[in-house]
Amino acid sequence: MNSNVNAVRGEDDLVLGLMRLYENYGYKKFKMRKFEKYDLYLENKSFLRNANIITVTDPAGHLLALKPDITLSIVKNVLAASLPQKLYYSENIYLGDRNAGEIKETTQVGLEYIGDLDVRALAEILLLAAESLERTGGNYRIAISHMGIVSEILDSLDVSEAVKDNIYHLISDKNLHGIKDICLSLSFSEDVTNRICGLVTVGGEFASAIKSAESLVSGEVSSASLKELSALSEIITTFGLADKFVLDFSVMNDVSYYNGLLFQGFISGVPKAVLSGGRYDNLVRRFGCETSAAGFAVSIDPIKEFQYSEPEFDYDVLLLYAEDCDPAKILKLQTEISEGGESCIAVSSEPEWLRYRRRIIVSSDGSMKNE
Amino acid sequence: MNDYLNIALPKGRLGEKVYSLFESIGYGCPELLDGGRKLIFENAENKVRYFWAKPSDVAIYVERGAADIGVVGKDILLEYSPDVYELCDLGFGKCKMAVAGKKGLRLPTDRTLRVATKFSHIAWDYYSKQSRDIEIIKLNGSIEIAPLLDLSDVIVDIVETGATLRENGLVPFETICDISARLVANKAAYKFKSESIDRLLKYTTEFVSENTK
Repeated sequence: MNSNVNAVRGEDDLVLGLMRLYENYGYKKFKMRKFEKYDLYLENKSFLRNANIITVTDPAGHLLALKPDITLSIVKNVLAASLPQKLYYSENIYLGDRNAGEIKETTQVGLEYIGDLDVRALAEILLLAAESLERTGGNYRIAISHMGIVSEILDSLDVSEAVKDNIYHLISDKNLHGIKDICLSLSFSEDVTNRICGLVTVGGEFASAIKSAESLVSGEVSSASLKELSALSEIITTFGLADKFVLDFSVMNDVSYYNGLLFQGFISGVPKAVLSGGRYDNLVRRFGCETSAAGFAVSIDPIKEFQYSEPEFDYDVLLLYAEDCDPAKILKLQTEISEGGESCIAVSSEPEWLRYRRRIIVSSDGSMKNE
Repeated sequence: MNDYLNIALPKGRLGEKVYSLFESIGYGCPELLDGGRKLIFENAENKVRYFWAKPSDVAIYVERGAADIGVVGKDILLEYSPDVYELCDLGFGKCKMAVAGKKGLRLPTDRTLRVATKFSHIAWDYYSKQSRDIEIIKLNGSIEIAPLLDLSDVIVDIVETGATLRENGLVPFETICDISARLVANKAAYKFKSESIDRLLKYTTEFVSENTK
């Protein structure tokens, strides 16, 4: 029961716990360096659509990026190796914040599963995502979407990419009035309009929402996607997590990379998603490998902020000693206290602001008083 | 505490109008209208907490989760692109975002267009779609005098009736988009309070569609 020693450990507990969890499920650690060739991000620009990448030049004049993302680096590196590849990481990423005019360094812990993804593998990823959030100690929800359903509806439309983009945007904003306006101005049929609007209105508790999502099925792809979602829902229910998952098509990501399951995790009290993931077969295929892949990343910093509570004490023990005490004796005492697992500060005069659990006063004759 | 619905309202006429809408659909908080300098109001019965914020700040409160939902002008949403759900067009506070300039002005096409505005992102977006090279002059108020003093060629600003423009010898040239008040929600809060937010949204949508008939 001591404040400070715990505070130090508490910070890393979450990360270590997650790493151990992933390790136990067969994921191997992937360690990468801070920099990545800038070309990688240039070639895959829309993968990190809104990212403001920080660039630096190396001594040879090559343009490098402070890595804004881990997934790309993993995907481009592991493909030659034998599949399936299960990897996890705990890395810092760097992004420019245009509004604040500064560079933000944040920690991400996550995993990637590259290889044939059956329902079991997808469920494994979802359950690990849920367990990751469970460990934050907060009330959590995971919002699930499926690009198979969303993109089949939008691909059937005979409109320009810009309009499609606009509709994607409106769906992710749950902007129903905006969608209705567009459908009206492009004179979509009622059937199509209802389906697009359904992407906003259908949602909520996973199992029941999947049933209402049947109205969104427009072809083979979405029908298979819905089947996949139902299978996952059944597994989730078996694990007693039914109330933690919701269906929500406003969870979006770039279609040229993501093609299947998509999800985001939230903790009550944190204003933004703390976990995001999905299936990105299209990305792997861009790197020339005909396989599938999925993964997720947990943003550690907002969770730490959420978990933070101001410590009640600055130190466990205040060791107040008279100035003419034997210094070796005081140090010895300090050692004893710290070996007992308590944090201790030794001072000859007590600062007013200090909060401590107990106080030991050592007088000049060497006598000790415990308070 | 946590099961309250936290609502950020824009200070002023729009906010009062929105409050009376929320009140009429069962989210009343009578002490809100008492006046005075208090900024936060709670009603235990309806489980709502209202607070007044500067209109341009409402989106910040919602995006950062200090408020679950809020009411904010489309102009602010376009300018700052906050990461929030835009759930409903309330149809209040209708106006236009427009380009205006001196009457009879011929827009120069052979040099950089000087644009004075409070809404630099909206102006930038609009002209970059036209591939025009522009220079943005960011002002915080009294935008109308910029073309009069030859500080800029045109202005991009909100036009309600056009009276201020006319009085200053300016005319609107082009409409960039229509503006009105929008109901927005925090994306994370929606995951935990979807029931109460959806209920409010349903009533609000019904009210709006009845009143715009």
